[in-house]
Amino acid sequence: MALKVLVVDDSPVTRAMLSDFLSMIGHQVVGEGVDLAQTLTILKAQTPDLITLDLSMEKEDGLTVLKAIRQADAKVKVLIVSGNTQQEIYDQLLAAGACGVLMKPFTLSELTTALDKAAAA
Amino acid sequence: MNREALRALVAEGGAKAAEKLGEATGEKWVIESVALSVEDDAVFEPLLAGIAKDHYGSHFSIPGAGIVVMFPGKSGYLVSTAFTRDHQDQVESMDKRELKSLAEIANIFLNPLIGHLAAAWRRTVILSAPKMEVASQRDLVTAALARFQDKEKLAASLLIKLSSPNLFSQCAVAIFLDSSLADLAG
Repeated sequence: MALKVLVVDDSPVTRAMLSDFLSMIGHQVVGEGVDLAQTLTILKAQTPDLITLDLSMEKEDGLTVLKAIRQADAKVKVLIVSGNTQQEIYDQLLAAGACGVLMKPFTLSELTTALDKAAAA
Repeated sequence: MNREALRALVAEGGAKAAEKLGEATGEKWVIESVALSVEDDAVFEPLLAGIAKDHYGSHFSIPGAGIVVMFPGKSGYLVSTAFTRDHQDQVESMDKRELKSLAEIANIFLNPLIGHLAAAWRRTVILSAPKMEVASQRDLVTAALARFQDKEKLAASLLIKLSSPNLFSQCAVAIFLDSSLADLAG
């Protein structure tokens, strides 16, 4: 099933790579955000099915953004996309409402698997 | 501070980071050396001779530490091109493409090292977003050291050198720790 996806990452290169892969596998990128304010604006306007969310961003960290997303929309799926390797941090993010984790760097196959799992969660 | 324990801890984390850099660039990276200085920055003396403003630097911080990842100009180009190899059409017209790619590569590369240190320190750590700069090695190291001039006392400095023979590229990582972190090793 094609998903409407919002890509949130402060790296323009990673946003471009994610958007490229998402388009290749038939999903629709409805917006790209770099911080909390932009994310909430696009979330309200585009009502995505899923958000890919970076953890280390310039203005706010991913946990702060995740909590704000959850307050604004209890249903949207959130997939964490990060280079962080600490399980304790992912446990916090999953407890706060993330539905999965994808480690950077990722392949198309890894992204597809993570999206399928997140969509089914 | 147990110097050998700290150096070994950073070397183990560096090996994990090298593996991740290999995943990101599609080529194997090896650690050339891991050097440690205590209470000064002597380990960086060879770098301080480098005055050509041709290095890509990514500055990161965590509480108690400053880190800078440095790629020489030619390596920076080769590494960023390798990282974006499957997405050339999407990134080729991007302004400051190398700088932006290397910021993300440095973030991906450093996280396994920081994760390894964080596990030993029994704490969780989220790296700051990278601050990018093109400058000489001397200026990059000096900028990373600046935070230790006033408020914080430098307890240990580490320099990791890596290379990728197939990618004809080099990378250096400078890590500066205050005593709150340096004393946690061993």
